[in-house]
Amino acid sequence: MNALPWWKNLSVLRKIVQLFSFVFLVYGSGVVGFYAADKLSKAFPALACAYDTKTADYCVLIPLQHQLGHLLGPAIKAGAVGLMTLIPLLTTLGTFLLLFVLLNKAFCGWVCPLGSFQELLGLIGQKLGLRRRESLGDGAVDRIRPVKWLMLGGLVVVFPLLSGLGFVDHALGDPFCKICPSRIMTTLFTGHVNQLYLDTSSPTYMVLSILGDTLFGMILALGLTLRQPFCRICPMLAMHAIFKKIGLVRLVKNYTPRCEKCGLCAKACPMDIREIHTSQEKDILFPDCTLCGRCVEFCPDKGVMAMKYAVIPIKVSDPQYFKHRNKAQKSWENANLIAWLSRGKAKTAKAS
Amino acid sequence: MMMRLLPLPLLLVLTTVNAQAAMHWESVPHKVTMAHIRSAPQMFRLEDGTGASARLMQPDLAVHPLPLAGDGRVTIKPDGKEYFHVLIAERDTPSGHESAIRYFHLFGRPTGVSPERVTDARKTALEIVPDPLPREHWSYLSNHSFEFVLRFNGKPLADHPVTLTTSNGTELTLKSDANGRVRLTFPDDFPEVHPGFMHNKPAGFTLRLAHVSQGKRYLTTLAGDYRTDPAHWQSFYGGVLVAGGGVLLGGFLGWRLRRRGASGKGRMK
Ligand code: SF4
Ligand code: SF4
Repeated sequence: MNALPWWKNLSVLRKIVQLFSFVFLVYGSGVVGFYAADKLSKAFPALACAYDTKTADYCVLIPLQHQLGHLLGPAIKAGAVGLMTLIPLLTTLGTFLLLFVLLNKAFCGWVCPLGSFQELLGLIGQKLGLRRRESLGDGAVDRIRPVKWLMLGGLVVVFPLLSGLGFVDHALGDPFCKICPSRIMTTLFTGHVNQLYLDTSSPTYMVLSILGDTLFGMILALGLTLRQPFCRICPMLAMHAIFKKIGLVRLVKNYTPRCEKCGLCAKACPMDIREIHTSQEKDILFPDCTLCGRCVEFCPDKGVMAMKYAVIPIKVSDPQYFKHRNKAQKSWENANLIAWLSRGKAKTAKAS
Repeated sequence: MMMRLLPLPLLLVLTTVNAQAAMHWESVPHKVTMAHIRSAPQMFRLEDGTGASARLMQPDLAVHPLPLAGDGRVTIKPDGKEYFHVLIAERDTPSGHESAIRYFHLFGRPTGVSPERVTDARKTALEIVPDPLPREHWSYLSNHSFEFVLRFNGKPLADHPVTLTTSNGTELTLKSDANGRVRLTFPDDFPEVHPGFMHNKPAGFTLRLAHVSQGKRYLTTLAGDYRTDPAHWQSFYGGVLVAGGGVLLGGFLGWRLRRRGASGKGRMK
């Protein structure tokens, strides 16, 4: 019997929050309103997509790309950068920061529809009994880590700005949106197939649509066997990393020499942040963290790891919790199609 | 930004009746550079509007009189209020009353008032209400369905005909349902289609609604622009094929990762 009631299991609570957030962000226009003017913030710190007709909010990346490409770039070109150019950009960043302070990187681990979708894929893969490669090797992780910065710098900032300055094709005015998997995923979830397309109007549009569709397809397959494949290269993850110091949700560690022999926290981390194991610092909110809290759950040592809201502890590592949580995890993982089929086979063999 | 909705059952009825000319607003095309897109004024002309008076409803529901030039032109400069503005023209005729409405978008600062209140606000006795308008920065598209509500003195007009005419030459008559709602699929009637959203000029449309009440004849129009369906250069099946390739690639990568990691470290049970 699972001795851990569901309401004490942080992962279960997180899944419930993710489900509510997903439904609200993907279908919430009925609550907040249909028009852009009605949306919650129009600079949301997770990939709630503007292309979704039923969305409750827009992610911050779309106004950023458009304001850099349609406003700042042309203004720089015309030599007329003034307050009117900067105010929309500052409003976008200011709104993003106001929200971001509240939940910090937990917008990824608890709220983002694409983050939740990837976890759903992982759940499907696990329930099918597919052999999963949960963690990537250190070399692969190190090679992948800079990609998110290239995505943010290149696709969200530089190309839109260059397009506004007239140096590159207009099609590169919002290149991240053109390849963003959340655009395809959220619109498909609302029953619209209009964002899954091959665009033949120009070579640039064609390349962007091929990249976007391929990336989406890759996530569908990789997500079944690898945890959070897109999050690892997501520009929002990089944007969060810039401001992570000002967020109220914190991840802290009281290093003990016992940590050396353990490392369960790093194994539990879906983003393969091995530094949470080796770090001797208090602040262990690393750039790739999504504040999912699994490391705290799977730390077997009392009080060594904690997730806090400002100074208030939300979850502190505890050996009793670890014991029950670990047991619950094992029985959860054992319940899958392949295991069920092989149990069935074994029973039949025994009976005959 | 644009949208393409799933094709929905057509409610269009082809008609042979010629929509008579009626007072309506048309946009006057003029070149706007990207650098001035937020500060550029917008120009419109009231067609067949002799004797009419005009006013402008702003996104915060404030209404101001709008002086018309001799040829019916008006130039609207950004007033600092973001989102939908409404041009309204009205005149009394010997047999009744005529009105013309057009919605358009201006940049500025948000007013905190939902555009839903702008479309809901009663502007004339007889009115065609977009429900909803295409979201800010989106547009009406050919082959796509959009809904309108026919209203007289604030109440829906059930089973009532409304006529669509487009600058591409299409004329259609549609009928409202029991709730006064009309679902219009814009015709794909562009004589020439060039690949790319920006390479196709929008076409104009006018919806025309007539109603007789207590011996008075009311006539109203709602005008706007619609654009070419991007499905002309965006193939869904092509997209599915490419995404399928992505699935294979992702599957292969996943398989390789698992093979490499089968005995490697860091594999979580
Ligand atoms: S396409 Fe992606 S980046 Fe663009 S608005 Fe949608 S979620 Fe944001
Ligand atoms: S990193 Fe993942 S969870 Fe965070 S915004 Fe990107 S897709 Fe969403």
